[in-house]
Amino acid sequence: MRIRMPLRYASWMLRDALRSVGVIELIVIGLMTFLLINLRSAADGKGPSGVTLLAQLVTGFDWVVVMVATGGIVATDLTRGYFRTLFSEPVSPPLYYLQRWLVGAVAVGLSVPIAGIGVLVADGSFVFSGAVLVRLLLLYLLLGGLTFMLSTLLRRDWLFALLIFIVQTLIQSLSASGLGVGPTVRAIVRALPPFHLVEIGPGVPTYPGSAALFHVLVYGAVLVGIAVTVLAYRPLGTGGRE
Amino acid sequence: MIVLEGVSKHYRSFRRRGAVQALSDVSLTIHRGEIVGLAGPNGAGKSTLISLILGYLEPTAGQVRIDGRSPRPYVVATGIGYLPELIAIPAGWTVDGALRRFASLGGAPLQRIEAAIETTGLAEHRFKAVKTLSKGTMQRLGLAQALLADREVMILDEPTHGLDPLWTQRFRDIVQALRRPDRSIFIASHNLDELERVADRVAIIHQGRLDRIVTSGQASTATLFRLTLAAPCAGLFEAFPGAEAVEGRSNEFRVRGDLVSLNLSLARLIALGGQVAGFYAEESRLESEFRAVVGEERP
Repeated sequence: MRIRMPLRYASWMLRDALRSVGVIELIVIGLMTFLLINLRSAADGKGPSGVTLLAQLVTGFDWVVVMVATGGIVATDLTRGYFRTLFSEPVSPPLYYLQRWLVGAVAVGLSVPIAGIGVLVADGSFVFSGAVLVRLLLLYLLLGGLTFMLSTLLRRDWLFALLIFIVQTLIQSLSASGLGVGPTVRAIVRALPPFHLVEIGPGVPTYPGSAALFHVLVYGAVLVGIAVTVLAYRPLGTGGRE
Repeated sequence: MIVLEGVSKHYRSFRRRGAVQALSDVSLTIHRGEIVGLAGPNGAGKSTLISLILGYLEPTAGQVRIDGRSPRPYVVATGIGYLPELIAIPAGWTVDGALRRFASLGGAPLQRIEAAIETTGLAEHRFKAVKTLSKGTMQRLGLAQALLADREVMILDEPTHGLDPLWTQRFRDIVQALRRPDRSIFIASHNLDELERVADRVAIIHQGRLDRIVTSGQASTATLFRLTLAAPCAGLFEAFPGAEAVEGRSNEFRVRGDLVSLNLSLARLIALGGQVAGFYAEESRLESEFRAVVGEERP
């Protein structure tokens, strides 16, 4: 039996992703650029510019676009019953959702060139940063992968993923700032996805180091692997919750 | 060919702290070239049975095979023409967009979209959003989706649900046109009349058990008829000793019997001066069998 990605359906998936993620990217970056121009004129033209500005624009809403791209990716189809018509077609559910998740990454990645246009409007020159794009895609791998995995098991995947994201980020920043975090909490945070390793941060963005990159890639691959495995082995009719 | 062998399905119920038995030891074969109906009251296990055939559920015991394969690998490789009981399609899609998507996903040629739209009369709704469609139009869209690809296995779950009488009739023609020597068609319905007209055999399921299978010849043999007289006739009860007057209808009676005895009784009635204004089947063999299965007497 040949099992293939439903590539013929990829254009429809991209269209759906652009209608949700793309529209949010345009609106948020448009608003942020407008705000930035006004703030700059109030501060006599002082403020970040170029690649730093691009990084700030993307950091402002990176987790939002990841959540929009992946929230309910599987759970919505299962709970609303869309899966019944979709998977009576000759399509493998794990490959269908893996492709949908990958297409989501493309839509999220578009944030960087769109933010570049925002910089063009503010600064007069278009900029692009590979480091920002890589960090954004790694965030997609971790947060989007976590949401994808949770979506095969839970209805409110996005809520649980967001909670984990917030808890990990908070405790990590407390720990980094030298405030007392107990060994148990530190162990829990170590087990959670390493969001801090993909943070874009202030200043000129840089590529993550090889150790951090390896950690994130392995962690993300495991999340996506679990999602695909659950989809391959649990019957869809139980909503994966039997 | 679809084969179910000793299929049982239990659902775990956390509220009831036990298992809910949806299907118990069901064995059924749907041959190629055959249209098989599935009848049963609400909660009998019809939808569970269909989910098992599509591989959306795994049986707790027994096995389901389609052309010798487990359902999911079969569907992933070949696809099944399937109309769900309550078709769910994202509200923002248009009729045209939905069919294009399903054609793309199922590898159906785009020309088939035109044919499906024509067959199901969706031309005037083509560019409407799914959320604006009536229940009947939505059902026709579901049918169009099921017809898009040329599948060897078709499963239609409550296909006339929400259809008006005109489209219910057209549906019968559509199903008859789908009949092909290499195709197995399985139709679940509450509508016994519909099943009787289109199916070769009808499986009656009750409380998760396959109680009996009524074949087409039996199904079309009515046993209960309604007799309407043009005027009162004193010889009625001589010709039809068991005739029962229909409450609130003058000169209308229910009579039972097989075709031979009924013809003899009608001839006797006419000889006795009775004028027959109408004579039609009131309850078919399938309806009688169904009542017998669910243990309900006719009022």
